[in-house]
Amino acid sequence: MMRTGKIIIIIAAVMITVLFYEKKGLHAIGNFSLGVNTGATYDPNNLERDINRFNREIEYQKETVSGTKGEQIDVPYAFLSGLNFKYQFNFLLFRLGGHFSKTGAGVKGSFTPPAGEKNEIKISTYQASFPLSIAFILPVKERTYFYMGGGMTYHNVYVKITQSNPSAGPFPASDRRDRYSGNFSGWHLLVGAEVPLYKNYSLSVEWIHQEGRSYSMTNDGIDNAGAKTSSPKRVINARGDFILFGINYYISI
Amino acid sequence: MTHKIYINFNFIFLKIIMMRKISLIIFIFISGMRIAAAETVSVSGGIYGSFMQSMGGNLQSYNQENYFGSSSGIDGINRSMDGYSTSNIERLTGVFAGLDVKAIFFDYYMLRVGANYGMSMTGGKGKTVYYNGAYYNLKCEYSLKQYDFPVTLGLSIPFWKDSRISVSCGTAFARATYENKFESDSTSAPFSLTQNTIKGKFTGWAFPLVVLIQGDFFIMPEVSLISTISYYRGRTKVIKDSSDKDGNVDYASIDFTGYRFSLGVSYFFYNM
Repeated sequence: MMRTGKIIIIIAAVMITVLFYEKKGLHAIGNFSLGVNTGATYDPNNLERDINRFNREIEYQKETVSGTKGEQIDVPYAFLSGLNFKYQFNFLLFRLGGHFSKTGAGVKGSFTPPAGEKNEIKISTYQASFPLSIAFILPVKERTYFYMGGGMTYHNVYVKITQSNPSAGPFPASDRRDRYSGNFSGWHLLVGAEVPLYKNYSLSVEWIHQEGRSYSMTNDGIDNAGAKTSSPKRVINARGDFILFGINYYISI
Repeated sequence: MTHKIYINFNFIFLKIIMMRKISLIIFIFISGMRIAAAETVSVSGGIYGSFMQSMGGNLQSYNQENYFGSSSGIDGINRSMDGYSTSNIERLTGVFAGLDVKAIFFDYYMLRVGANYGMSMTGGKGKTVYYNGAYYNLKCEYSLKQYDFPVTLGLSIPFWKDSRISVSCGTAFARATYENKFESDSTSAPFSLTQNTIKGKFTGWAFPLVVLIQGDFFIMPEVSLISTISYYRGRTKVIKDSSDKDGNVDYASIDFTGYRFSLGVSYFFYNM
């Protein structure tokens, strides 16, 4: 998380430096712009399958074992925020971005067997993605256009699943903590539109679809007995769709 | 005597960040409707038909994993074996009918509200085999009906003289009913000597995320042909089977994720 924060600060510093740095004698070729984005995504890092596995077992045991209580885990939505740096030349757009999404504190459920202790299940995850995109522009007029393209993405991901009392169930052989983090690359497609807002500012709406699968990550976990464990390994799937609304500032050169 | 006061700065910062993000999205759209621009508002109403492949996703349920050996629903249940009559069970293809109302403010900013109703038309029927002490034929049927109300915000850009392209994002209230039916000659659970058919019925709702790309081609000043790709992403919680006459209870979550392709017509009935 610290490393991701440092990367985002470095990108922001480069963008601010370019914004305020004056170059004399430079011929204007194309347009440079800096953007700030915010938006949303559903189920970052694709934990839906694990969550449904817990939820199905919780509901089944509530129905079949008298006295069992439980609360399902919601598949999370996540807000995201990001920055991007664009260069447009004729019908081409080059874009370097970074966006960060994290689930809130409410991704949790519980399971209590009859006359037993409660097991609280919590899930937290974040994803920092850095897409490098090339897109084709369909211009309408100045700073009014559609764009469609794609490129490579570098991902930094983190997933943590904790259970306060796994022996209680619904899966008694589970670990107290399963924790995975790592970096890997993938690809993305993006579609968007931009319109002028005020002077050098413009407004954009964007949809990014990304794909990427990690290598088999080692677990930094704690088993039910409290001992460290490195299994099971996990492959994190960064497939997802991101909705982004942004404000862009065109740099005058 | 000093008292230490502990302030949970992490919680406060998280709350501030969440409020800032929500405020920023609202600010972007309210400030985007600048008064200095040409003050035009146009409102249109449209009707359209759509189709959706993989309606409901893989339609996984507890019984399919627990008894029939499929952890991926309709995708994993297809099997064949010599001496057993089988036929491929395809994912559902759905057809929808819909209405929408679109308001375009200050030339570019768009708010769209829609209503869709759809049901599965093809797929979801066939025969397979499964092992439960011995091999048995299993006849499967799946069906899905749903309605949803999407609300999206975005940009609509006039393109050339007679077309508009819109990109908008938002969410929808979606509610669906998923039914499955399994029939076999087996007498082991979930079947019995007196029960060779088990049925499941699941009704639930969710708020999937929606992304919409739409093209309007004007054939007359107020009438346009519309072509749309929309993408939904979301699912319900796990729902208990409400069909309990067969003595078997199943559990499933309804998936709204997928692409829809629509064609229709829109009439611009208000211009200011």
